[in-house]
Amino acid sequence: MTSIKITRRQFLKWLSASAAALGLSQTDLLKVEKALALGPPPDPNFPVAPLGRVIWIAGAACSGCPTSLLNYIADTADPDPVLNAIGNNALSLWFDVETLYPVNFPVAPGDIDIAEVVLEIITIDYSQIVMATSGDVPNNYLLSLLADPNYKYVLLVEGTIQTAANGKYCRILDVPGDLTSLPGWPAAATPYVDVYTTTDATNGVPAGQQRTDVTMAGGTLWLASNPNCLAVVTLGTCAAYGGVPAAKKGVTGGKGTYEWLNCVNDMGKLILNIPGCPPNSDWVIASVGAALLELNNVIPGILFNNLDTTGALCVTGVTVPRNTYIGANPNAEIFHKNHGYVFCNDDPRRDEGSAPTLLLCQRSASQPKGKCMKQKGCNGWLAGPPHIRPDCPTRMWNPIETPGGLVKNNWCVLNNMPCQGCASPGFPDYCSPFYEQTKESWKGYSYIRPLKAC
Amino acid sequence: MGNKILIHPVNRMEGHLTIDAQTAVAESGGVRVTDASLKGELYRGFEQILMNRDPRDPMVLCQRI
Repeated sequence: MTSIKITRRQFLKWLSASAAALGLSQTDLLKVEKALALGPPPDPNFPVAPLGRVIWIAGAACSGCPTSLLNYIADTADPDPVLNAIGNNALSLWFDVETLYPVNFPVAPGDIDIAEVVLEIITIDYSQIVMATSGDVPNNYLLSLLADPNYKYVLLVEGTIQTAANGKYCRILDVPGDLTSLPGWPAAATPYVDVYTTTDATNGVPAGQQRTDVTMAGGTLWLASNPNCLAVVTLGTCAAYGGVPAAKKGVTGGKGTYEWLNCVNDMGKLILNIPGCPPNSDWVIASVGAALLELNNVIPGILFNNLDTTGALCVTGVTVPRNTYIGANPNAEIFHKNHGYVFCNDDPRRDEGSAPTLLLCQRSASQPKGKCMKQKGCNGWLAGPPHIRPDCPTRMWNPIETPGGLVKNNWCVLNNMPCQGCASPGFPDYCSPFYEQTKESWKGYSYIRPLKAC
Repeated sequence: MGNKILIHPVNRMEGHLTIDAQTAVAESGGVRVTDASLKGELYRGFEQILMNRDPRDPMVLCQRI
């Protein structure tokens, strides 16, 4: 999978498929087409290299995020994915749970699924959960890639980074050689790896050689500190903010990626957060797509002009930016840019100062009324920074089979489950206990835990 | 001493696993695994996180295992 090429036609097809989700307008698409037409004579193998090379590492994760990602589908016939998602989305990919081998359903012309994204748009060079080999084969491949000065990649982090006990709660790989002697090795990562000398011949190599056992905490520092690491994308609330493994009373010192790389170790990396437990596949593909378009200079500004960098307070009063991607097109937002978007009639902004009404809940456009579940712990009414209110009510989840095709038709609240606020930075502690009304003052709860080192 | 087979990470599974196997040359001339261990390399501490919480909380938290 290292040198799969995509054609110009495929590239345009993918762009149009993702246009709505990415917030591209029709004019933008025309610009792309024009730019391609004005450029050098069309190369049938354009672009020569895949748009993005991705190294994917997982810490304390549950594989819910990749499972959600496998549900990705974009429908090109859908002019406004947010408003029409309920009626128009069709899912073209199912996967066989036992083998994780993708099985394609009949795909409508123009539709694109996760298989196409993975095969044609990005190249996943290293991922424990999807790569085909184990042990030293992928490890040596990873080392050879990193040794290439022209190899530029995006680091995708999944799961909490556990930093207690020198990171030994999660060890991700064991590679031949002494990594700490490599040029450019970050000194901060040295306590988080274990360099040892083999006492037996190992994997056919004689005894007495050095090997390095890398923890998740050390591995993120190692891979993110490489100047060829263009950006870090965090997949899910765990990687973005800490999430469940970093909850109160946890003993493993879980941290989010932003806190670990930029607060604790002061690396100043560009970090793109895709929170959600799990994140909707549309958010992932659109965010990664925006990053690729930006970093490859196809649509300059598509990412940087649409980052939500509003600050979020933590318990110690430190403000950190969220760096969450928001779609450019107000009708096609990944996360609602307009914090005034209201689906909940109990939203405090609706009747500021008055007693909550606790009567109505606009669970979806087609089912506007339902009983409010605020007293059962629903967090739909929490609005604005630092809370992230995803577009679940309109984008929807859970594709099911219908006579008209596969349709995303549900989300937690529509299914009478209180919104757990899983994309917000304080999850899960700020809203725990879950089935009690969430306290209105969230400041008593830690936002990124523990933040003492920050 | 025999050869050791060390596989870390193991692909296509949830979580982190190491396979550590000692091999020796058997009398027949083939290679024989004499000792093997599997190591789970991830501990998230759900046991501690769930302590003293509301009894209804695990319904939400343990989905994430």
